[in-house]
Amino acid sequence: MVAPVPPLIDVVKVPSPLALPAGPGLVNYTYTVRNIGTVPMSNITMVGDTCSPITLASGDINNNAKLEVNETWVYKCATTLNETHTNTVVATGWANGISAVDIASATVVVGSPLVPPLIHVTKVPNPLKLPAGGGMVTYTEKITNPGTVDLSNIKISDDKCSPLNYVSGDINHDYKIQPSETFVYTCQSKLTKTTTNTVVASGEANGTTVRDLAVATVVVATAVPKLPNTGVAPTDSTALILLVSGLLLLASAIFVGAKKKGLI
Amino acid sequence: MSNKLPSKLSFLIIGIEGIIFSLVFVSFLFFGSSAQSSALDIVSNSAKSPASILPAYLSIPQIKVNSNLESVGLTPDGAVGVPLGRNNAAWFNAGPRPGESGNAVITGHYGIWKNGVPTVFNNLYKLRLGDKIYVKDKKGSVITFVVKKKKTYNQNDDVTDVFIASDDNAHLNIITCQGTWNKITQSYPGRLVIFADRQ
Repeated sequence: MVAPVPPLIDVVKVPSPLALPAGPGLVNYTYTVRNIGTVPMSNITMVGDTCSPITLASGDINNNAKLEVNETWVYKCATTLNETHTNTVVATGWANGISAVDIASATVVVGSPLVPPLIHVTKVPNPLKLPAGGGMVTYTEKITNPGTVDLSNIKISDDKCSPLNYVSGDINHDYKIQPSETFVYTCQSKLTKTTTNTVVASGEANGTTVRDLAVATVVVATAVPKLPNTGVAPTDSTALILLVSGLLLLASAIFVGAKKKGLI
Repeated sequence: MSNKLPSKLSFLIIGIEGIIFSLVFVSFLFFGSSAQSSALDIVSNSAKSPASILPAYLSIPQIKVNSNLESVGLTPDGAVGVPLGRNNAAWFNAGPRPGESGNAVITGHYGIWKNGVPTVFNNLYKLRLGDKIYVKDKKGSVITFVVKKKKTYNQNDDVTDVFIASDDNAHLNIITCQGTWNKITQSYPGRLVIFADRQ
């Protein structure tokens, strides 16, 4: 059986401003949605918990309502915040009968000049599909900082793959993620069945801890049995018919012979 | 003395014919009997229709099939097993049960058995779209399926759709052989699959 290719979706959420030191005010959220997989996605939905409507501002270049691999869709939403608030959005897309989901959160501080940090993580499996029986998958996780303050105390964990090995990204070797840096990690796992796993990344700045998660599915093809051999050789019946006919013939010959000789 | 000879020959002839009759009688007794009585009342007992059942009997009135269902898995070479009895069908126990979401699979023989009588699915090809198929468990629960499609597969065809459903509904697929017997491969070249959906 040929396994379908699962989609991968990525959403980043950035509020502007990140802090309202003077008190309540208007906040504009910008959501950037990307297709980080290999197949176009349809039925893209954006669901926010406290800001609506979330409207598509740009990105569907060919106007086919599908999030193509080379497209970046930008959504926007505006709301007035009266107190410090963390807003969450769930982005969903579909391809080949499989859904892809990503969640992004962002905190806006009201009444304080402290700017909260932002963190973003992506998870990309390679390959996205495996033949029946499974095989090795390498996950690549990338952590970025879409905010304005450096992230420290970076932690990353995966619910179904370990260890996560740091590969590169800390250009200035300060163990912090600057807005210009991308920390790269990899993890390998042997899969025997279709698996969805989640990576969680966290970092700290200005006394605030922020988290982001990424979800990825790898499809393992289902083993399909061979069709059964349900046939019966048609020659089998011929032997029985010949045997029965022969015996009948023999009996008749004996009977006729005996009668001719006047024995019966 | 001469009076005893005809009598001996008569006994010989009667004996030979008795053997022949016994052979034919025993043959039909063991191999030529039609369905077991336990399967015959499937159609009439259709009051219960559970979510799924552990299948024990199969009935297809349109082609006069009433058979016991054996339970089979995979053969060492990865093929679906086949029933031991010529008049039995077999449920593939590594797949869904009839009534469960997915493709439940039943197999049965095609061709002429050793005693010259036909096997359970010799007339499977006669089924038409819309014909009913009944599967019953040992407690009397019955699930009804309706024929939706007939398709013949060759040896190297992709048979994914036989075993993997493209939706969440309950399906029943019946497989038997088709074509002309190949003496070299000791098999028929084709496999006829009847695709049925739960009613």
